[in-house]
Amino acid sequence: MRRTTFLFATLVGAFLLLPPLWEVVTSLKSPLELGTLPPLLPHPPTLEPYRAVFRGRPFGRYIVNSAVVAIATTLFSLLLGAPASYALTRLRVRGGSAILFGFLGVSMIPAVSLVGPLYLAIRSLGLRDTWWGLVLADTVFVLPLTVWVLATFFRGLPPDLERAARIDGATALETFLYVALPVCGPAVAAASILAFIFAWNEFLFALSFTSSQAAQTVPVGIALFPGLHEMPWGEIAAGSLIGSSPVLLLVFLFQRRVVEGVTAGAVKG
Amino acid sequence: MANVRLQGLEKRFGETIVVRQLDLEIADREFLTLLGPSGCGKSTVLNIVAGLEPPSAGRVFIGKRDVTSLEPQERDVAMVFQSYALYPHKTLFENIAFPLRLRRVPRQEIRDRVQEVAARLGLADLLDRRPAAISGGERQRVALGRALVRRPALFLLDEPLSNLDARLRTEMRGEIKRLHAEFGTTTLYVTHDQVEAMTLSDRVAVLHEGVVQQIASPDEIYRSPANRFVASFVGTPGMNFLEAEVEGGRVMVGGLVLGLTAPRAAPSKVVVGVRPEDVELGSTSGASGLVESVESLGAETLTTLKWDKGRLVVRAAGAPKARSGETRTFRFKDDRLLLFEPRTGARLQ
Amino acid sequence: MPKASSAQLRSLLFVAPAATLVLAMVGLPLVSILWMSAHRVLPVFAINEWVGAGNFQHLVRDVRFWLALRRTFYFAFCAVGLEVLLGLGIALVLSRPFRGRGLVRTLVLLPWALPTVATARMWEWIYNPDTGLLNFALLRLRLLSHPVSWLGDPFWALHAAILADVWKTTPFAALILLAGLASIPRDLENAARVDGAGSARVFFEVTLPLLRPALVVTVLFRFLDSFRAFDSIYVLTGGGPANTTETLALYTYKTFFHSLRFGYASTIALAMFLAAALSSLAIVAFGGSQGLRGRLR
Repeated sequence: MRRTTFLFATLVGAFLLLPPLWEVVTSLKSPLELGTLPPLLPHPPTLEPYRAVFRGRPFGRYIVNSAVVAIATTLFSLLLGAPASYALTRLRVRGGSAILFGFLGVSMIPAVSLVGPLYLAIRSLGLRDTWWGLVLADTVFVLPLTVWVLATFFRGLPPDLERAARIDGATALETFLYVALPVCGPAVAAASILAFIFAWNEFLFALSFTSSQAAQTVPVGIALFPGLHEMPWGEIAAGSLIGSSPVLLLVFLFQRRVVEGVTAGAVKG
Repeated sequence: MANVRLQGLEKRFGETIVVRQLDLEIADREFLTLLGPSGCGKSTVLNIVAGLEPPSAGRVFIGKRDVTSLEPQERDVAMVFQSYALYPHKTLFENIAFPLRLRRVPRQEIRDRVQEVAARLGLADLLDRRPAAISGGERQRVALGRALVRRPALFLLDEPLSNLDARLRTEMRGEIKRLHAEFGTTTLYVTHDQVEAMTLSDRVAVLHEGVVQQIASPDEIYRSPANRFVASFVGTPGMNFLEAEVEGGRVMVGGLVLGLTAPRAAPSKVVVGVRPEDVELGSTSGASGLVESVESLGAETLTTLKWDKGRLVVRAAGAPKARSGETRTFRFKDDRLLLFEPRTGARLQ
Repeated sequence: MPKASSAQLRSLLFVAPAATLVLAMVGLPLVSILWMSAHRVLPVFAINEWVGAGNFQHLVRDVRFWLALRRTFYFAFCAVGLEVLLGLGIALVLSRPFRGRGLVRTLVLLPWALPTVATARMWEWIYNPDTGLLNFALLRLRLLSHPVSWLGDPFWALHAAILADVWKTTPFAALILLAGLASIPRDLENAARVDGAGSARVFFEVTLPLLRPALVVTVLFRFLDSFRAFDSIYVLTGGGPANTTETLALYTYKTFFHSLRFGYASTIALAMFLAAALSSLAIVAFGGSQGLRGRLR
């Protein structure tokens, strides 16, 4: 039994790790070396693709756009989602669980079904090809996730803490800000990271609501690498890796929070 | 039915040694309890005997078989877990029948045996229900039933009563004792509750930090504890301990001479142990002390005395005979005094 | 005003911003979809005329739609099936402690964290017929005699897309199932072993039934995600070759933004939404209530 486990683990491990490793190898090859296979490895490895990514396209601008949109989305989703989540789980709101399930229902709607009218709305608000257009759309669609992840943790808050705060004279808002949020710090961290990852990786809205480097994000940049004939695969690989590094870093540094968030949003729910 | 032999058992988790050089024999049909505080290794020993964990060293014999390398299913043992471990998605009937079904016992026989056990445990009407729908006491009985129905060579019970309230615990204690008398299966019982150990067992093995302190009948454990740990662990309220000096064969606590002779090899400083029921209040001679608190338990009274050598807890039958703040004389029943070596805790005899 | 309802009002204030925003940005578009599907809407030409059920009649006869629908279900079933199986295997491996487990868990998480567009590009490169790693490996291992155009072959393209999706999202399934496994008390598996069950028996009689709620959640969320998958197919094949990888998501998007027929696109969108909703209900009904009943107090 142990041997089959080991075999399975090795195969799955190879399956999961080989493609990104190959991508890294690809990003270090010159265009000439990309034309043939074998050889597998670059002789010698070169950082030229990484430099080429920024030449001839505003990749740096894409990164800035992504950063702004992701950070703003995270902040807004917390600003709106945390109080909502707290109220729905800790303050007795009539129809609270219906609203919570409403959020869940929203998260199950295919975004592509709504992208048409959303585009029209964004356009009529004058937000086409701006940061705020994306922040608006992304915040709306990440809110259910934020609310549910936080809800799972808020539910686990010992009621005695809030009672103690009440006796000490705190209002609901004060209890929320000074007791619930700090105690649920890990949850807030988890929700923030998940929101950031969502907004950073988001593609459909970024593709549909933007048209220029004014607001185009990294995923759009990666998708729009030119080429019918000469696909610069080395650059694409380099660009993908550069573009993925923030989220990779986040997951690597905060993996426990990420795991908590993902499982909270799904299992307990 | 079988006897059990544990030979040189050891269990290490990384750097920590949880069980040290354990040698133990359980006779056929005997009820032996592993008694000790939390973390002393008793549950680990049980898991090793069950086959759920391998020992780091040593062997386990059930009957004539060396089962050390066998899986639990091959050992013919049944276990009752502290959490009962009932399958929540199966009915009570299916829970009790599960081990029989695994052994491919014919369906009719399963039905007969399960119903027989259920009737014996008062569960006959509940067999269609699921564990979530019955009470804690009933769940405990289902766990017992699942073990009983197999008629195994060995019963293993891991603190089965600790999740029950006090009254149910007393009731189930009696039930377990009756079941053992009726079925006679060799039983290894694990608990930290010395009342359970004393009332249920033929013999008790006291465990402390992975080392066996004493294996003896409950009576002997109580009257002749091997060391200070055993003496203090068994008996409620706990034994009183006093520092004493030995001079020329006489044992003295402060100025008070105690009526027992010290053994020749006794060191100059010893610890004297006396059980609360072996201290007499209101004696004509002896020392005197201030009554600090009086707890009346109905059938008996616990009095805490403070004297210049420390505190004493005294137990006497009946209603309180003193009030807090009063002074009382007291004496010890000299033939019940125990002497312990101060450093090692070993009993001096 | 009694104290209770002013507290209610204040609690509602906590919820109001989020709820209003979502209601506005999701509810209104939903209504808009309904409205537009009954109209012929071409924003570019500012055309907006009532056609009643015309779009729906067209939809019913639209072969491209039905193909896309069938393809989408096929994609989702295959993807979810593979992800759940692989994910369960990974979860089982990760559920027992071993040295380096934390590191392995992080590595397993990486595919999930990457932008889908990036992973699609990655797979596109691997699938490259001349210089891709897959053909190279298969030819070397003599499992192929000549290179296959994975993304250019009508049969293989969809399956290539499925594989890419499975690669990216198996970690998510693994995580959820891992959490589900962790919530099964260890004593139950021990009890089964003592009762006489071997490893396989323990798995099928104890572990799997108790894992059911987590499995249902996994299948539900993964199904919905695969059903509406857009990013990777858009990048990998754009729906081609010859629309053979066009899922409902792609078809909807193209009708909105390439053909610019907002009315008809809304009809497709509505159909997609309904298909997703009905499937979710079916999944929950099939797997959910039974599992829940076993765990209700």
